[in-house]
Order: sequence, then C-alpha cells, then structure tokens
Amino acid sequence: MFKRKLFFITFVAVHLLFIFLQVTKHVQFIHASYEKQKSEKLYAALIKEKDSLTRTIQTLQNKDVIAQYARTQLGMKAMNLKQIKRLAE
Amino acid sequence: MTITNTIKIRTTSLFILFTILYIIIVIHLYRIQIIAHQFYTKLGNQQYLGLHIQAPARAPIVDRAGNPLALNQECISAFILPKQLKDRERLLPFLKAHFGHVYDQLITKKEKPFLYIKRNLSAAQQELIASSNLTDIKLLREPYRFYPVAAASPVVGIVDIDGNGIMGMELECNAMLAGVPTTCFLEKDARSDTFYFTKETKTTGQEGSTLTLTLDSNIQFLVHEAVKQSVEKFHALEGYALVMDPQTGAIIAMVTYPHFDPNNITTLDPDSTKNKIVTNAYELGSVIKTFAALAALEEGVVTPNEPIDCKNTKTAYIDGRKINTWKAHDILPFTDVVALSNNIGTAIVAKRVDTRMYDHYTRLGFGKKTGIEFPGENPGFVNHPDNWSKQSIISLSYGYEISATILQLACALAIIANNGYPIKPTLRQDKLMRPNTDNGPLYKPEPLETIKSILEHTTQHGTAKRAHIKGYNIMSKTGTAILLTNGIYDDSRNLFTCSGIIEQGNYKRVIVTCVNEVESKTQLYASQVAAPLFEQVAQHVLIHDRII
Repeated sequence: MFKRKLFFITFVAVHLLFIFLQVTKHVQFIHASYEKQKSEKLYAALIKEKDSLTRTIQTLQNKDVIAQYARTQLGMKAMNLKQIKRLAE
Repeated sequence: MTITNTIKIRTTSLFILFTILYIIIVIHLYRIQIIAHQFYTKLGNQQYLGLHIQAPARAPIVDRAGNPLALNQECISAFILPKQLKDRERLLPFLKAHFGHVYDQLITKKEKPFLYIKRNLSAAQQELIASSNLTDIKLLREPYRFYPVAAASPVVGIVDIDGNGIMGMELECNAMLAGVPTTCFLEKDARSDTFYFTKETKTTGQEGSTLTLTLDSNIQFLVHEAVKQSVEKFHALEGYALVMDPQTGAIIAMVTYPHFDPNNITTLDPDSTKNKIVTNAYELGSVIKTFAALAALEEGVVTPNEPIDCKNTKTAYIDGRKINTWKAHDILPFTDVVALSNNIGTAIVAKRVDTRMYDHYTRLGFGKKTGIEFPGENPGFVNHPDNWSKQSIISLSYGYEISATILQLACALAIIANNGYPIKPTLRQDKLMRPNTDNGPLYKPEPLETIKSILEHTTQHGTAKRAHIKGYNIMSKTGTAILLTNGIYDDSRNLFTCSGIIEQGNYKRVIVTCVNEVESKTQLYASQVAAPLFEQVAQHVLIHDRII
C-alpha cells in the first residue's frame, strides 16, 4: 500500500516537474525573443538615426553652398594649372 | 404525499433541469467547435498569426570614393481612415480648402478604409496639418530617397513614391538596390501589434547591394560648374561634358546641363531628366574628320604630308555637291587639312576611301550601342552604302549622314587612346574591364600614331588651340555642326563640340565637351565655344588627379 502511494506521488511529482520545466523553458524563450525584438527595433531606429545624420552631413557638405560661400564670403577663385607650382620649384 | 416523495420529486426535477442545461451547453459547444470550427480558427489565426512581408531598406548609391549619391531618408505622410472619422464636419472643409483631390475622393469613395492625404509632406504642409488640430488626420513615417549631388541627377536618376527606380541608374539597377523581401509568419499577441512569440520564415530575403558608380562626385561638380558657366556665357540651350578613362571604360564625369533637381520633383520637365550624352544622337560635324582621316591613313590612300588642293575658296563643288568650309585654304598637307578643318580637302581624300568609310565608322562603334548599363541608349545611325547618293561620302567625311551620341564619340576616341583596342564604357565600378585584345587591334600602329600626331598638331596649331594646356600632351579636334529644323539645315542652330585625349605617361583621359545652340549675332565656331570648355574641364581633371 505504502509502495503504491509512493509510486503515485513520485509519478505525479515528476510530471509536475516536467510541466514546470517546460513552462520555464517557454517563458525564457519568450523573454529572449522579446529582448531580441527590442534589440531589432533599437537597431532599426539607430539605422534611421544614422541615415538622418548622414543626410545632415551631406547637406552641410553641399558643394554648391560651399563654392558659393568661398566665392562670395571668402573671395576665393578657382585655380588653374599655371598657379600651381611644384614644391621642388 | 410523504416527505421522501417530495424530496425525490425535487431531486429529479433538479437533475432533469441540469441535464437539460448540460445538453444545451454540449449542443452549443458542438456548434462552435465542430460546425463553426473553421470560422473560429480563422478568426483566431487572424488575431494571432500574421503574414509579414519585410522589404529591406533600399541600398545606397555611392561614387568611386564612397561618397553618397543616393541615400535613404524618412518622410512624413498624412492619411485618414474614412470609416472611422470622428470629426467629419471640421475635416471636410479643411480638405476641400487644402487638399481638394482628397476631398473629392472622400465624397465619392466612402467605402475606402484608408486614404492618403499627401505623401512626403513638406515642412509647410506638416505645419498646416499640425495647426489644424484635426485628430482624424494621422501621420506615418515612410522611406524616401535623398540625392546630395544634384549635378549627377541625370545619371543617378530617381525613384517613385513607392521607392521603385524610374530613371537612370536607380532604374537600371533597381533589382540590385531593392533586394528581396523576407516573408515570414508571425505568431503574435492579439493585443500587441508590436511583438511576436514565434517567427517562421517562409521566404528568405536578401539585402540590397550598394551600387558603386565610377563617377567622381568632386570632378562631376567641377565639370558641372564649368559647363554651367559656358552655357550661361553663350546663352546656350544645353551643355554636355564627358570624362572617361579609356583604359578601363570608367566614366568619371557625365554632365548634362540644365538638369532637374532630384530632391524636388513636383514640377519636373521631362526633357531635363534625360541623360542626353547617352540618349541623344546628333550629326556631330567636323569632330568625325578624326575618324575619316584615320580610315584614309589605314587604307593607305593618303600620307600625312601629302599636299591636298583645297581650291583656295570657301565654296567648291565636287561631284555636283556644293561644299562650304569655314575658311579658304590653298594647298595644304593632309595634316593641316584636318588641323584647320577644311571640308573641301577632307572630302577629296574621303572620296578615295569611298564605301570602305562605312566599314570604318561601324568598326569604331558608330551606328550601334556601346552596351553601357544605362536605360534608353541611342545607337545612332550611319548611312549604309546601299542608301548612298553620289554625295554621301562627302557628307560622311565631315560628320553628316552619320549621327552619334557623345558617348559613342568618346568610345571611338578611346580606341585611338588604347592603340587600337576597343573598350566598353561603364558607370559601375564592379564592371570595369580592360581593353578587348581578343581579336587584336582594330587599326595598325602607324595610322594610330599618325592620327595622334595630327590631333596634337590640331591642338597646338589648328582649330583646337583654345584646348591646349602648356606642358601636357593633348590631342583634340573641334566640330561645328549645323542642326536640322523641319528636315532642313538651319545655319542659326549649331552644335559645338570639342573632343580629345589627354596623355601623360600612363595617365590617359578622354574628354568630350559639347554646347548646343548658342545665341549669337555673329557666327561662332567650336574653337570659341567648346574648346575653352574642354580646356577648363581638362584643367579640373588634371588638378584633381594631381597630374602636375
């Protein structure tokens, strides 16, 4: 009788343990998946931020604006080959 | 009735009642889980399962140094949900006043669940919508393209509102830039549209590949400035310039002016979107004499110093055909016939070549596409001998009855620069090639060396003097072509071209400059219009490449 009771309790306990482990595994998987998705969203947001900053840099480095500023504000002119002397000279 | 009977009756009644209720539940369960199984399964799947198609971000386009020519950006678009409007009375007048076409759609198509108001809102439009305080107008972020180098717009092209290439390299390499979308099934929380439990990939996608062009954005800008100045100076219709490395076919600068602003395409002139260096063919005039002379030298019908009688007149008749030339010359060595661009002397020598001229022109690539990876290339035209009149050889000798693109002209010069070996032009850095040596050179070394000397002489002492840069080996030829108006040659419409090769040791560049239809009260020639532009472009290229 005692053995039968012991077997029954052990059987139920082992299955409860398996269920617990299964649930724990699933929870950890969901947690990891959630973290991964958060990272993916952060990555996508950073890529967009990078694109935005790249555009800002390109706008600031606009050659037309720089050339206009060089000519009008700094009084610069385009140079030609005759004005370039070799260092050796 | 005894108490026991009463209890029995009540018990039995309760049993029957609960049995009936239980049977009702079972019937209901049977109806839901068996009969309507598919309906509820589908409903559940709609809440939990989703087919997600994720398109990768469009890859950028960069120049040979990695400087961006096309980037991804985000724009803001406005939309409404017609079936979920809360403040229709305020929304309709606002849409009628500022977005009339949306108002019309909303009135006529009431069953639409989603309606764009405007995609890619300008800053002013965003401000307008924000100040309206209409909660029915919602905003979303969408990707769009930004082009930092407007001077390269005819080459790079643009995309449509959905990010598909519609012009230029954006169109030509659309599949490469767009990549392949990833399709996957997501099992997600019904209440959250953001996170998912599991993801099963159905189709694995591929990221778009960055397109590296052979263009140098600095040279492109500098050449663009030079062309723009020239067009403005001469009040011309258009200007073009092409810089190519003949040893690899790499196109370093390809400028068409005027061009469109790729970052503002609301008012787009279709003509300004064309890359006319590739898409438009012209009768180029005297620049073709370079190749007529090469043909004559290759056939052995003339030598460089052979005296040619140019009749000492500006107008002569050969085979009944009237030939005009810009200046009267007497007897000239053949070298000077080319250098001084005398049509009469050229025609006399060309008649010796006769129908073989057609073979030479086609051998040099005229009349067929160069094969460049760019949409809309024009093959040009060379009049076949079967269609010749008695005077066709005369026309062909100085650039008529043959139409060619600027690119074809550059490729023909590249054959001379490469000592007789052809090269395929390319705008893609991953498609660079060496000259095709499989079938041997197209021309013998002696005619090639001779034509190079003639072109050098033309630059130093002939019509291309304005293209000369002291201390550099420049071989060039000018051409002033008369354009057609309604099938008749119109002296008031000219195309001015200067084409040439720069050589300095192993460094070689082919440059072609072209100015179309200037406004002038006096007759102008390419030596005054296109040659100075050639010189400026050459200076920019030499300084940038540090060939000093």
